[in-house]
Amino acid sequence: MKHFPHFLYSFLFSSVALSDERPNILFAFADDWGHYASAYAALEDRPGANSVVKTMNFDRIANEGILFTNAFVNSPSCTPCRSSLLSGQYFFRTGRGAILQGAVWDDSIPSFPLLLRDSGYHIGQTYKVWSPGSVSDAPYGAREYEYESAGVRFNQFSQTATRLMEGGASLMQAKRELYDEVLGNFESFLDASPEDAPFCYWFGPTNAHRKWIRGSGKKLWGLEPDDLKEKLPAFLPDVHTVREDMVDYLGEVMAFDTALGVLLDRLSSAGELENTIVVVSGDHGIPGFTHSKTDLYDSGTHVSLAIRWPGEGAKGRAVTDFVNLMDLAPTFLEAGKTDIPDVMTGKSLVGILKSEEGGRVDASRGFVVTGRERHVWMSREGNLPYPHRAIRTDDFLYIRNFKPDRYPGGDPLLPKNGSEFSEDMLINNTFVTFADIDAGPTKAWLVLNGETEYGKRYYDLAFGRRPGEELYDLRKDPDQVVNLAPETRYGAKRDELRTRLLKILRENGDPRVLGDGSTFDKRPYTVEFTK
Amino acid sequence: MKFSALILLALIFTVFLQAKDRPNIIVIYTDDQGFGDVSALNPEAKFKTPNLDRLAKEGVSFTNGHSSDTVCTPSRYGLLTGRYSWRTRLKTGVQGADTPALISNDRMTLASLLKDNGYQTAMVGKWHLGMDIPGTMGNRDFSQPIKDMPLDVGFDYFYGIPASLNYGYLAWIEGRYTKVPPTQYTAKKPNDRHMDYRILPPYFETAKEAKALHGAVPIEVAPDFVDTECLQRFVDKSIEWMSGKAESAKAGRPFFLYLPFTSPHYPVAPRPEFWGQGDAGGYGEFMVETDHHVGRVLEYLEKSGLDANTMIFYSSDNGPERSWVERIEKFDHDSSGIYKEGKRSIYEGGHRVPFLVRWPGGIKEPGRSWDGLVGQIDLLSTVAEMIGAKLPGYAGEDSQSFYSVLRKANSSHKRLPLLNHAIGGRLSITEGIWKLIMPHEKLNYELYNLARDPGEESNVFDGNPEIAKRLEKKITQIVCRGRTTKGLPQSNDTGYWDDLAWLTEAEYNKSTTKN
Repeated sequence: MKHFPHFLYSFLFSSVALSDERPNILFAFADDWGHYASAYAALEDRPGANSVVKTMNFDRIANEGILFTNAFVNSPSCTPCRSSLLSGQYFFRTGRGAILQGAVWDDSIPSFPLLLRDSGYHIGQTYKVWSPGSVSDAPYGAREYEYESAGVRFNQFSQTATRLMEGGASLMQAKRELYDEVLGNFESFLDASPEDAPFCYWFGPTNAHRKWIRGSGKKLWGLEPDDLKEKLPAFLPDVHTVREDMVDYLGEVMAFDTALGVLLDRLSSAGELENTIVVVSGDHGIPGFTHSKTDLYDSGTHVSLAIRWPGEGAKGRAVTDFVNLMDLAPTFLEAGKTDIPDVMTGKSLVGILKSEEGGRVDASRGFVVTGRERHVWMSREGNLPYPHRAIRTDDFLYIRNFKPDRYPGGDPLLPKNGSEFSEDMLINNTFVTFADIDAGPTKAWLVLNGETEYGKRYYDLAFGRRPGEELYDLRKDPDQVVNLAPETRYGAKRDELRTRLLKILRENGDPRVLGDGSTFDKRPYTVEFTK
Repeated sequence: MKFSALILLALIFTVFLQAKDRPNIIVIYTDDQGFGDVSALNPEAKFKTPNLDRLAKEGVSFTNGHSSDTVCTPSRYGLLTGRYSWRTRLKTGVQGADTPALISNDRMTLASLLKDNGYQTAMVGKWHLGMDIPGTMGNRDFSQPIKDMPLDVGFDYFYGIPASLNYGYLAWIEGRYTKVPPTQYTAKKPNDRHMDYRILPPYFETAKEAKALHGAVPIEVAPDFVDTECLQRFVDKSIEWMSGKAESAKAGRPFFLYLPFTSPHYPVAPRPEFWGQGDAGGYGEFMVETDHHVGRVLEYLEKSGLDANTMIFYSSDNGPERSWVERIEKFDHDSSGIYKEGKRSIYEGGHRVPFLVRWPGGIKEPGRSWDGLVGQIDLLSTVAEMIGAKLPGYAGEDSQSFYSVLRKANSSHKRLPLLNHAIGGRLSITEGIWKLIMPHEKLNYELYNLARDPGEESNVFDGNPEIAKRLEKKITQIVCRGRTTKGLPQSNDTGYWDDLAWLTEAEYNKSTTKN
């Protein structure tokens, strides 16, 4: 003992002492899942998609924990959103992690999963963590901690289920196979868990990401498209095609929610549920819909978030504190009694989780800052990004579009050889035009009806260029379609929010507002992307 | 002479089926499903059971059909033997998994009757009538065959589990052996979807560990056993077995399949693919899953071409489990329908259960309902009449065929008085519209007019002494003669027992020895 190196002794001693008390972490993070959960329906003034979708397992986490009503991604694009979440920093601080196609992870940036691993957590992941990017899932150990022995078919839920049914399986058999896969993967992780170490498991299915099978919302989930009549946001045409597209998406959300239930069930039977922090969220708004994924409007950045931490804080609270998902990294670290690196710009939620209060628990959490650089590499001439940042408060959304001459959804490309777009092309190929908007029936409808009397307004909102500044008054315009930035009576508010936003960006070292602001418009951020 | 020959001919051609037309028979027996748990029987049900509704719509729905008891073991005894279970040594409660068999190996059962008449017979599902599993918990020899079990009372094939999931020996038994033996231990685990419990991995290597964690009685369990697998496996195995018999069944060797489900008995453990269905919580989801598996059987019959000539008898072993109370409060769903109380009770909710018969090739004018009294205990005689077999006097003592109801919409069938039995031993007798509940321990007589008062709200015993006296005489006779039906008196398996509170031991002995 005398000759035992002191640091090793203290390391062993402290890790043993810690391991018994630290909670497990289950992080269920759905790709492209926005603010769509039945738990939110009761809090909303007007009925929307949340009154149609049923997410009983997410709702359970909320009822037995906390429902966050103001959770936002830092960036409405997978890779930068996840770079931010994993690093606990604003996306623009993660170097080449700040863009989607062409992203490269910088190993020198600390990430919460690897920090937890180093402090004694048994870490594991199934499906997607950090991608697209090089190398896949790098901030989680580059797939070294991947548990996918049962398969990855859940990621194409409606496609797989439909194929199984075409092969003669019943709907229930088809679903059963997919839930069994989720369970099998989780079990292989649990089986590999050492007795005395807490675990951290990332469950990241991509089934809510496009594509999904048209009509599957009704066929697999019994969701009636026309139940969404008069419930769509103001920037979407209220037509059957769009309603159907939306319920197909909600069906995938329900598949994710059921899979969450499978995990909870398994944790419960293992006697671990009461010793596990369960965090459920998703990485930005609905794909293939405009004003949504890749945009800084709520439909792009506002997401679902519920956290259940047994024995801590009051249950069943709705908390209105603004949360940026980068706050989760320091939250996990603090809950796991692991030091939070100084570079993290996110703020731990542990104080809120342990509180007994609902509503606005921490008065300083009254806003969130979001932004985007490059999404699809070839969306614009010169492989340029669409640079914008926003600040969202309780009542206002202010957006700064740094390059208003660029198209937010990508350049309006024309079909080759002077022909016309077919619906089929627009449904299946994202890259034919407006490449930042995923292909699908809604995008196809908007493009094909852009010149009709009814469709023009939606087309312009969706694909048109935008002014350098946008301001929306959410009390009157919750869907953010009436830009008040040019109006004198809103001038003071606009200026105040601009100043606030730019100050935060500067303080946090956003290359977009430092120097000549051109960092993200140059190599390597504008490289061609080849798989 | 000529006249009686004609009658005989008419009988042969109209009442009995010719040997080659004898139908396949499937008995699907749910566990603790109440009368109100079928959407066709309960318009207020908070979930839909389209496949059960199909059985009703395409067959006969008996709306006054009763299980022979109010809990698992005795109801199953009555169903299979056509004899009340309280005539055996089991006067109250139920049996466990590894307990002496309640059906003696020489007693006629549905299975043995049909086997003796050329049927291929199988049971897949939950037994709960006792079996002799070699050894005791923690000290088993899994290489030894299980004895006094389904294969000893007429079944050619058995796949299933010995009893309810709370009783242990939770392993998939096939034939007389357990392929993956229950070498591990568990106990009731919390169930997040319902107020009961779950049986699912991870399991423990020792009984002590299971007890330490859950503080309950440890249960032997096989590593591959999971509660949510029961229904799927049972129906998979059933279809597999029927597939092997389909050709010979079409060639004149029909089959009999007894398929007792484990649902919606606790643990209420619906598979994830049923979550969110219906509006009655986990219980509704579990009923939707149950219905789905009935649909799988129907689908198989259609696909295999066996549909027309297969009779499905569908019923439940007793009324709904106690959670029916909270289901009314939480979901406004009454598992007992309009009837009073549930499982274990002498009131109608305890034993008036879904009772559906579908047989496309045999039922005349399908889509009917029959509101006359019938019992599951009548199945043995019904089946015997259907295949033209005669029951000996020592079998099916309480079984009265309702076959004519299947064959004629205007049948004159009239049930002899039917007895019901609560878990604690209290008896009742129903004849026509009158139901007399017998005194028991501190409880006095109760008399109900079920036509006017199906919910058994007003006890009219005081105003109707004649009716009560007449029914009491009949119940005494049925108890003491050892049978309900005509024929030579039979012996009960025991002497007087205390539940016969309206009789003295001397009166009982006098009535029984006089026989």
